[in-house]
Amino acid sequence: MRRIRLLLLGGVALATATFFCFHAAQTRAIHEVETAPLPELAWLKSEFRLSDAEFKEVQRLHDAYLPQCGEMCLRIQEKNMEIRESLERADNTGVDVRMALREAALLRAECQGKMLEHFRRVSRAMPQEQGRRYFDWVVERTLLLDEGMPMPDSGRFSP
Amino acid sequence: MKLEENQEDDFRLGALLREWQPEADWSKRRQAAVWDHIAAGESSTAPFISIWLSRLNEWLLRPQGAIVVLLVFALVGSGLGWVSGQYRLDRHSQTMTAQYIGSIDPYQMKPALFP
Repeated sequence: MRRIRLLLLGGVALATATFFCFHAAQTRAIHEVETAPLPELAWLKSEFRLSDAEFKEVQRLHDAYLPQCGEMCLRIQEKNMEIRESLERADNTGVDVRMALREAALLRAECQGKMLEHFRRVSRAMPQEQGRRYFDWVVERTLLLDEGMPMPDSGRFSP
Repeated sequence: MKLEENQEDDFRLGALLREWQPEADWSKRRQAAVWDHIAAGESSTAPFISIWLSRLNEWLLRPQGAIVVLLVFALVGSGLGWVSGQYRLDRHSQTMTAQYIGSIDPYQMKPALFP
């Protein structure tokens, strides 16, 4: 009986050790990403298996794009405030609102055009297969983002 | 006429059923016999379990039995470690995706990211 107890204790110790070994091996990449200066870019490097040179180029493109993106953000905010103000105006006839909405749509198109251009540049900096995968992945999550309206091939149309 | 005869038969049958009492032997001797019977039934399964346990015991004490048990524990531990690591990787991947997309899409950018 004592030998069986020892065997079971040894088994539990072995199971615990293998659990931590496998868990640590699986999550080692997470630790590397989280300790990087820009974790999201470090994650992109591991996700799309980029070499150091490719990653350097992606990082350069990202750094060059960020100021444009920030500027776009401010313009979007200003436009949203403009729409809100024209909606709240007492003598509102609807003309101002329609004009502000049209401008917001033009701004969105301009912004999406710049995003698309950036995605193309980044995908070209990656190996061909990974670049294609990146482009599909990022476009799906930004330009083709489903905002409530079901897409025809999304399978969410009721029969 | 026939209806009256049937009614009379029903009445007699009803009276007989009311009078009838089963005579069961619930004496102490009978009860003890029933308990003995139950105990005999239980004791017939006891040897099977004890035989099975002693065989398992013997097998575990053999080197190959011990190796199999340790292998099973190692497999369970590594399987659970792999699944838990995969779950953490998936969660991390979702967080990083949201963070990256938030940094490049002005329509999904968090307000704290710009002045």
